[in-house]
Amino acid sequence: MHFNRRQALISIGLAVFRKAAWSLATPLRPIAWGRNHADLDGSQTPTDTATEDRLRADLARLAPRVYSEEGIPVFLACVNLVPAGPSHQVPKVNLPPFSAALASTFHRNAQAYQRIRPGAVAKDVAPLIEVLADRDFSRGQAAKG
Amino acid sequence: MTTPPRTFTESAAQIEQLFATEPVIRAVNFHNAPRAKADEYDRQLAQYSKLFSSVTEDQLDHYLATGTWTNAKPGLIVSIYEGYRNGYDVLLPLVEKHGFIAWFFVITGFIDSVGKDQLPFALNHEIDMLTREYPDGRYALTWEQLRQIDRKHVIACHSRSHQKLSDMGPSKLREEVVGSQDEFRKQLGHGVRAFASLTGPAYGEHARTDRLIRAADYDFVFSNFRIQRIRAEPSRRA
Repeated sequence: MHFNRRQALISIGLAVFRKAAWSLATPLRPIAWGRNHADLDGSQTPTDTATEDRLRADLARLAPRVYSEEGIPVFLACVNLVPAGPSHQVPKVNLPPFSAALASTFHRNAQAYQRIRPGAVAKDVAPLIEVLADRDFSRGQAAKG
Repeated sequence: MTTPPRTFTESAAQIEQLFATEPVIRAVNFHNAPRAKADEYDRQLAQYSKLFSSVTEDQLDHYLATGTWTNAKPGLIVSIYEGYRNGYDVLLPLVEKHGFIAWFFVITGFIDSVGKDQLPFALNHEIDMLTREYPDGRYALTWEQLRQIDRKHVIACHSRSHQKLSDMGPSKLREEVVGSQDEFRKQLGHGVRAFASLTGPAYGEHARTDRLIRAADYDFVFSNFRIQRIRAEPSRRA
């Protein structure tokens, strides 16, 4: 089949134009919300309302915990600041898939948290992380990494 | 130098960025561990032992350096904060029963307080004393207990007095970061590798604290939802 370069460029241009027009007609949302990614517990991305409902319920369930007398699950990011080799640059480490899933789930729930509690302050990320850790620790099948 | 986040949006963005770009490890944080809750801790650790494996300092160092975890089960850092006496009496036997390594983050000033001074010290330094189960008034670990713990578990520094470092003058700050490490060297015969203070700062957020952390030869800095590896070689042990 003879390849018509001019026709191909026109087709690509039309496709880009249609996508741009569709995007303008779509309500503006943070980019990551549109992704169809796996949740930490394996389900597909829930709706905003479902995320809010589940978060609200988990925050209420965990609120009575006595921090000073209970084991509180959390996640810790592991940051290497040590340069190595002749380049004196910090080497790139392997990133387990769990990190990406956690970041994505955290993003969605942080957005939900702000809708639930519009006056949220910086330290409110703590209960949010604790909710996600509690779900992960209690679901019975820990992701590797 | 980086600036600590001031709003929820900034803080959430920082955490999301960390989770997206760095390996993550799980931790469970204990503090005061009254005997009345021993069964609850037992059940909790039993459940975790099915899912997770223990983490030594060398394993953490390797994970921080490479992002590679070699055990079949993901690692779980079992952190026991402050230096409460019941960390030894109640939690430690359960931690060992379920095959974990405990990480004791110790406030050296709490340990150094003598009997009747421990309760006032705790109340003045944000060490929660909701349950007070020792009639003799000793609520903190002893150095002898810490030497026993040190044989199989991890001892880490949680500063000297459990106060916000960024508010301190130079000599007080030195005592918190370097003085506490000197105390570990004296009492354990070696320095400890990990440092955590009350509410941070993270390494890179407070220049004076950073300099002292390096001077004290710590390898790891634990702060809000992150562990930073700042040295390539294990600290000198003597």
